Amino acid sequence: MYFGFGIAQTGAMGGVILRTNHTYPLLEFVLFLGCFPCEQPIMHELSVTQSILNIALQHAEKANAKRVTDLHVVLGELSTMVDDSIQFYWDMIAKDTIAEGATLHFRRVPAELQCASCFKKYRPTDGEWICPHCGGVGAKIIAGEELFVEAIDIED
Amino acid sequence: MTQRIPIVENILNANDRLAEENRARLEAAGVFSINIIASPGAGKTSLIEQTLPRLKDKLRVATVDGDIATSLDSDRAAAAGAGAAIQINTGGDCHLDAVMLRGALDQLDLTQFDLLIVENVGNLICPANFKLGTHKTVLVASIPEGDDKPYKYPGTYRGVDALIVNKIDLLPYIPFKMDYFQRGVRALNPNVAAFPLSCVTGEGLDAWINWLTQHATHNMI
Repeated sequence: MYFGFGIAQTGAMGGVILRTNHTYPLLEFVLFLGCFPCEQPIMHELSVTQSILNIALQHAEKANAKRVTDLHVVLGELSTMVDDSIQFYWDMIAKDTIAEGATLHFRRVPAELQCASCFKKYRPTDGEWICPHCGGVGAKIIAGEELFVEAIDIED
Repeated sequence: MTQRIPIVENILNANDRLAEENRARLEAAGVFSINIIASPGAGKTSLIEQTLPRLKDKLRVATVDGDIATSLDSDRAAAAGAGAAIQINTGGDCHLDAVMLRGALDQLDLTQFDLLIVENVGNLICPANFKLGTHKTVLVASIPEGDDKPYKYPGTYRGVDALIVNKIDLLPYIPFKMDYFQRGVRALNPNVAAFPLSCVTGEGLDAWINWLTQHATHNMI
């Protein structure tokens, strides 16, 4: 089933690759195949990983770093980002930069909501966002949307 | 020597800043804009096809269509009467981002339009993360997708200003519990403007057109 779908995608992707100018052979291969598990051509983690790299390189340059050894990334439970995917793209796009080979550390933040009616705090469970204390709706998110680079470790 | 540099920089900062620039450009030209998101096949393009003829003589409309490949959607928008229809092929990316929209805005003379309709890539996860700079986000849900989607995609349902529930003509044939669906939507987004409609029969379209026209003509931002 997937195979047929993959062929259709590959046709479209092939056209795209001819038009773009990216310089990551392995990444090109991934773009070509699409993402096997989710049957989506590619995931948002690619853009996110590119942004992580840009942020790290910018700050490393400012500090005159020779090498970036570690990155500390905070991902909220509701951020819909998968750390394995970020790691996967990282290994490809950080190649030939001063952040090549850097270790990614992920800190996951669980989701926490605050009821808009009774102001009690609770965690959403199994897609259920209604307040378990009073049945209130439209809760405020207190934690879980985080998506930021907390720190980098560099060698200077 | 190894040292730690504290950063605390939002990963999507660069995109958010560009989104603000897009917003400023649209506002400078007096253009109201919406970002339509949905899973593939929910009826984004059908909604645009039904909407454009109903706005004729009222608003000058441009469309921007995002897809992984092909110009099928912008062709349909142009055929339905869009004053300009720009196609963005993301080449594999599962969402539009602010850079891509900026590229599309560059191709438009914004002073010639009142309303910009952006049709995002069909996907219920990623587009919610990437701001474009549009004024309102419209989610198209549809009956065949099932009634559990608000529970499965809270981030998407939570962040939208209007919710289209398309294909209501199929309700007699599909076990879709409207109460359960509405309960999920209300939990996340109690004040969302909801429009049950059918792009095939035309039922319910008037309320949606009124909402859109009101917002676009009075710039209800």
